[in-house]
Amino acid sequence: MRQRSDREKLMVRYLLGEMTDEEQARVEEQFFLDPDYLEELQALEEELVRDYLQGRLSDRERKGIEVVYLDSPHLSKRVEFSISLMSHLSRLRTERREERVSWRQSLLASVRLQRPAVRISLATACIIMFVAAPALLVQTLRLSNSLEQEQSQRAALKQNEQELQRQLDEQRLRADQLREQIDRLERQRGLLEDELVRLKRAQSIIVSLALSKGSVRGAGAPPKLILQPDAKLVRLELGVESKVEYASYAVRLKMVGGDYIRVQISPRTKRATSGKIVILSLPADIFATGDYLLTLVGVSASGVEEDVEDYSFSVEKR
Amino acid sequence: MMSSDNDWLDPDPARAEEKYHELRRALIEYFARRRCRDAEDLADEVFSRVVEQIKKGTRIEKEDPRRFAYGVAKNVYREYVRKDIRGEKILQEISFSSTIPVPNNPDACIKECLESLDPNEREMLERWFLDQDDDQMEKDMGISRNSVRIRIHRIKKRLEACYDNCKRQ
Repeated sequence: MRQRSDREKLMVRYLLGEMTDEEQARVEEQFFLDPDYLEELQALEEELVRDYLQGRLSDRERKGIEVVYLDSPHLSKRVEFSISLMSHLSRLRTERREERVSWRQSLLASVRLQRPAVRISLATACIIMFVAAPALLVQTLRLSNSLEQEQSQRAALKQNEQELQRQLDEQRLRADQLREQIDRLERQRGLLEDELVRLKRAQSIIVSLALSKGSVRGAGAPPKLILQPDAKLVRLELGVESKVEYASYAVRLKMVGGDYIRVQISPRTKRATSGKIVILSLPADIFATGDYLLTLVGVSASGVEEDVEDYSFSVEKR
Repeated sequence: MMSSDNDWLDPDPARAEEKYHELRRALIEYFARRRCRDAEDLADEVFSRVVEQIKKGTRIEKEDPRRFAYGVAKNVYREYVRKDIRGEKILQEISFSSTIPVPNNPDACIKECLESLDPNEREMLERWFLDQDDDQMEKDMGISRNSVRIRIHRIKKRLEACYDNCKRQ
């Protein structure tokens, strides 16, 4: 075993726990202050452990290692790692050697075959192999080229397939979007149909009739108001040609052959192309099937009333 | 340890990180050689105490962070011995997790890490560990025995780091 320098000897003593407290503290202080010293110390430790595992240490050093390293969990881990590493390296080396040996042995064994006929065959095979080698090389190159071509074709096909897949995905996405749009339109149509029903229903609830001067008695068939069972309100639009302004209006309603009903209302008025229109709403239940005569009464600011216009219409209750 | 906690080692974060690892190695060595259990946890305890003292206003001279840490390490060690004698473990007061999971296949990790080495480095390790020809290695490499050892040590350190990492995965 090679002689160690004094510096190494000091480090080995530290590593084997052979120092006094003062000496140990001095080494510790040194490696605390100088990282290179610590690296050197740990590198020497590697060697010491390796030599221990290889059985190259003196008895004193071997015992020192066993006391210090195998007693400390942290330090024993280092030894364990070195053991694992050594055994793995050794296994790798053995495997490598075995591979080499088995290849060589099998070749030699083939050559050492006893039967001459087999030897001749082998020799012939060798000659053929050497002669055929260039042809084989050319063939290999050709195969290699065709393999490359096939690979590039396969890559192109794969790319094509990916593109098709992408298009398919896009179409699926578009179909989903369209389906969503159709659903949305269907929902809107449903809402519109509901609205239509509601409006129709509203129309049957409120029945409108426009009455003008032409609907006065004696001017042909009177306008007809058809009241469905669910009708609640009758909205009458009365065309007024008179230019006289009144503060308010009232109506008198009479069923032909019956009594007058005075209906006190505050009709709205709106301007029309000729004159104005008085709009009034009456409950549907005051009407029965028959002919009606309606008189619009103008009320002045002083409360004086005068008849403005007469309208006739018929009602049919269903 | 956060980089901001390493400012006392060096104002440059990269250098501070490097110095942190160097100092941690020294601390682990110190506690391991003094036969402390959980040397790594004690090393971390030193760092946390140093940072605590700095936060309390203790000033550390630029040249002295390692010396300062050494002083703290001696205190931690003294406490460790006292508590150890009383049958307590200092580390029970500190919530550390020092459990290293047992690898499923340690051999696979060593193999994987060996393969990650440069072939020359692998060959060097093989030769150093299996052959008894240190003198020849020195000659072949044209460097001193100490340099060979240090090279081996550096390779093995990387290998150990790779192995630990592999085991954790």
